Amino acid sequence: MKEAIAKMLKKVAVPVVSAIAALLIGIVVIELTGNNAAEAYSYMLRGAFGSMNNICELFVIAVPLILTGLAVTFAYRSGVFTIGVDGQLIIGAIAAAWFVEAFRNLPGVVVAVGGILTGMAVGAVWGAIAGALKAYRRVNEIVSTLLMNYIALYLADYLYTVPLAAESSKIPQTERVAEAARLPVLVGGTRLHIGILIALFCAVIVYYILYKTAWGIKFRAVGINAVAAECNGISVKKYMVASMAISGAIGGLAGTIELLGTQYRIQSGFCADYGFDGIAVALIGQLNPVGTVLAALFFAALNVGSNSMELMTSVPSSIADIIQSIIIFFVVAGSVLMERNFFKKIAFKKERRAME
Amino acid sequence: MSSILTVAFLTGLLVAALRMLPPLLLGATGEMFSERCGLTNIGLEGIMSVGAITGFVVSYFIQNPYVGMLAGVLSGLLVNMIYAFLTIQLNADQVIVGNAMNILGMALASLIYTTVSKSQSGQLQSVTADNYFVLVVSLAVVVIIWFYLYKTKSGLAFRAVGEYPRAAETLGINIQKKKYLACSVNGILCGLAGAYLTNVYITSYVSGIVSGRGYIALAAVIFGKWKPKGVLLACTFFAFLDALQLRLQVADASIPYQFLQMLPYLCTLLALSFFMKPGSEPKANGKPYIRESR
Repeated sequence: MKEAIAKMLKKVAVPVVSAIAALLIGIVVIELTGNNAAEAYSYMLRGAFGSMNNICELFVIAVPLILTGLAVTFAYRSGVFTIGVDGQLIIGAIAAAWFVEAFRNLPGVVVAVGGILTGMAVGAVWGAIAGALKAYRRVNEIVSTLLMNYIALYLADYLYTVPLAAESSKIPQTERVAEAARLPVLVGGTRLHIGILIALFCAVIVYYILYKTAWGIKFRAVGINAVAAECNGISVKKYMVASMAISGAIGGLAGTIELLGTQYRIQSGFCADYGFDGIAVALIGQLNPVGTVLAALFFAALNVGSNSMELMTSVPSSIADIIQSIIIFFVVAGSVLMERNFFKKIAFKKERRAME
Repeated sequence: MSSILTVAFLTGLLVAALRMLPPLLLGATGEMFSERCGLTNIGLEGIMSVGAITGFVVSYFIQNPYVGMLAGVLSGLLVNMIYAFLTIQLNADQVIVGNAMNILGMALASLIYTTVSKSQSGQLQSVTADNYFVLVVSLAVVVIIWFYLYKTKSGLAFRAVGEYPRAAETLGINIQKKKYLACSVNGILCGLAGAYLTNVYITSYVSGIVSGRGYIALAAVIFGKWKPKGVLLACTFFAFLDALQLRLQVADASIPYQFLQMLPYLCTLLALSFFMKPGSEPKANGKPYIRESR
């Protein structure tokens, strides 16, 4: 029991200390811009947690972050270092937008479920392409997913500008999702929809697959040591493609939920960079589904808080992004130092000095 | 289609492409240099953003674009030292650090711009520099880097670090020094690329000015097979596509411009998947070098 707690503490220590350190650096940056950091942070806190409405908004923002974080977590655990969630998200969302528009005469529930399945399927295919290129053509997945992000972005841009464009609109965007097909709102008077439950359910499923099924062990085995996995009769190539397909499906789900629950239409800048934020979220969550959810909530609080801070003070909300990036730097550095037992070495040196 | 293929259209296209070339070429050459030493840096977009804002702010206050561009160069160098320290000293994951560099760079640029523009009144405008000065510089950089990599002993050692660092270290090559050199050059060139955008390409700052050039530069490195000549050709091709795309957007041709925008990425992906022999990439690219490991 004691050991389990110690293990937990060790896992949590790096991200928590990093977050605190980054928030402290944030104070310096805010002061440098000529503003009052205490005031800024208090508005940030109030913006994130000040009222029921704000807390609900925090969860709304957290939904896509949880999902993109899970997409990244699953792929990374299987040894595929994708940066392609952005592309899977937009291509999944645009496919869902097509479905929702094409079948708008069907009952709302059918349209919503069909849209979600379409978005996940197209996201899965998009992800699987990169997985197959890695497995069978030895194309580095970082490069291929980066390229495919842009292909997806411009393809979606074309689709909502020409074939799927809303008729009565001056700017290029898709038709608004019909009210019947939207995700039901959870708390009346706020934007919070059942997407949060879907996202949390998805986290449970990812956790279950990775840690409680034979299938999951194989995925993780491929991630830890592909050669050893191959020797043990696991078809590494198939697992690589499958992991990218699952990651892509979650990415597509993220885009679809955002479409059906929050934004209702796709236009330029839809969910821009949520996939990249997902990498940060997954990493700070230590590539663990539970950690990913917590990290996503933290990032969401930072985003919601900084937006209302910007309204109340003259501190720009980009401070939130700066804090985010600094957290990533610290988490990366901290994990490496933990692995190297850097802190133990310091303690050892101190002891030795004391003995001399 | 025939109506747009006039002499005026073609010269306009050429001029526009030449204006688009320097930032791509500088970024891609810097990245190629970095990857030849084993350091994949996907944070170009962020470094260019920092170069763009620093270059703009300094040239706005001093009213001299060349000093501004120099400041952009220095800021690129400085900010890339974060990447250098984390990946070289701590062997941190290059993709994750590069990704964080993008977040940091873009946020920093936006923070600095909002802070400065609040303290000034009216639209911020800087003085323009000579149109072709940076183009000449960037072409010279390609030649110098080619000469260094292929014609000097130090350059051979540099490439060895990117191919097989353990062997290189056995020969007494200082790996860390080479990698810091790689990061410095990459930071300098990306800083200049960004400063070019706010001092020559346009003479003000708008958010998102870098608009994906850092990522196109990454594609150009691969499309150019990690070789100076290849990178130059890839960048020229991509710059032409970009110029053509902008023109077609205005000319309202039958080809949707999005497909032209997509073309650099699609070509690179297809080339990489079907036409390129594996093995063009430096073998130790993207992998941290850990001395104690086997």
